[in-house]
Amino acid sequence: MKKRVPLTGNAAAAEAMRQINPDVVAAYPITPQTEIMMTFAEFVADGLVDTELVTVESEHSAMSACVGAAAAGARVMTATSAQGLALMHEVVYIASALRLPIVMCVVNRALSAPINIHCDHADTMAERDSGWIQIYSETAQEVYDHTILALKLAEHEDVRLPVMVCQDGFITSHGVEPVEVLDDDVVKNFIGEFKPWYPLLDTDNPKTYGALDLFDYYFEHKRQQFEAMKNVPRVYEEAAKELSKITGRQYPKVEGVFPR
Amino acid sequence: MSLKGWRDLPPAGVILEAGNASKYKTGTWRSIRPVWDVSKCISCFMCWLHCPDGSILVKDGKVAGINYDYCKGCGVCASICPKSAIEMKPESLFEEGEK
Repeated sequence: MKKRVPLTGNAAAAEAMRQINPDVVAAYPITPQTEIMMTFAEFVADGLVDTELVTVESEHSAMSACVGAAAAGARVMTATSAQGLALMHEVVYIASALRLPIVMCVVNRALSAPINIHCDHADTMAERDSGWIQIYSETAQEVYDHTILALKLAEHEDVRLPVMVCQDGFITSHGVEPVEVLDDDVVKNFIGEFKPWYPLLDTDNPKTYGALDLFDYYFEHKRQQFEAMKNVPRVYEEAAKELSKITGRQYPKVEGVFPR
Repeated sequence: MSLKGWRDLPPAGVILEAGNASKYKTGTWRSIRPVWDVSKCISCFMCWLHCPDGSILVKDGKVAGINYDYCKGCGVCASICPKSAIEMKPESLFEEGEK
């Protein structure tokens, strides 16, 4: 049974994360994303999720821990904003190139300087070519729906790429709106069980991640990444259609600025 | 050796075979080569202990030479040798088919 509850964009992201129940979340607080991790940390403390919450000393470490956990075979999520995303930059590329389907909630905020905590999209635009998929959310409802949709898209066999679910700092992240929340079981069934491709914790089959890749195979691996990205529009539409059947809401790839 | 195409490779550059680094012969990176003089060598194993690439060959408990398939020519062995039994020489002296 769907229920309508008042949630901020941040609380909607945290609620989706609770229902997704990721194996590992590694994050560092930064305005205006802080509320996501604050709320999710409460869920962890209250035992509402099974997540291993890794509190790190920087966003570079947060994304590094996410990469390690995802390579180990875990379903992994994180969240950040602005300078935090910029500090992650180096590892953001590693996550996509290692084909680790990490889902990151990004609350868009202007990059310094002058220092400002409010919204612009400079932070995620700087990561546009990083090999991550980006979904932009206008409302708290979209944040909630897109976060669940992002899991499905990231982990799809034809994609296996990380996804950023973006929302506008303060405008969406701190504005309270009515959000229709699905039942936990409905979300669980929609995202399904995560089957990692090459988990490092499968110690009977030892493997290497991140080896040196020179002129012989580097472009072959980049080609694989590109082909996976080419599958995204199709897989997105399939997943969006499936979610629409449950929620009754539409998730077109592109939305006009002025609704008809 | 013919190389595989992108469709045939495991994604993300993941290597599914353990211990296959030995297939990647890095000796071609070398610009100077250690030349070992058996007559000066006392088999103290200082070179074996310090070699970062495990390229010092050992046979019957004695140093037996250098594996040029993997030696990158860093010169640590020549530097550490107490008997100056290893000398670094330019790789150009050993090139074949030139001059």
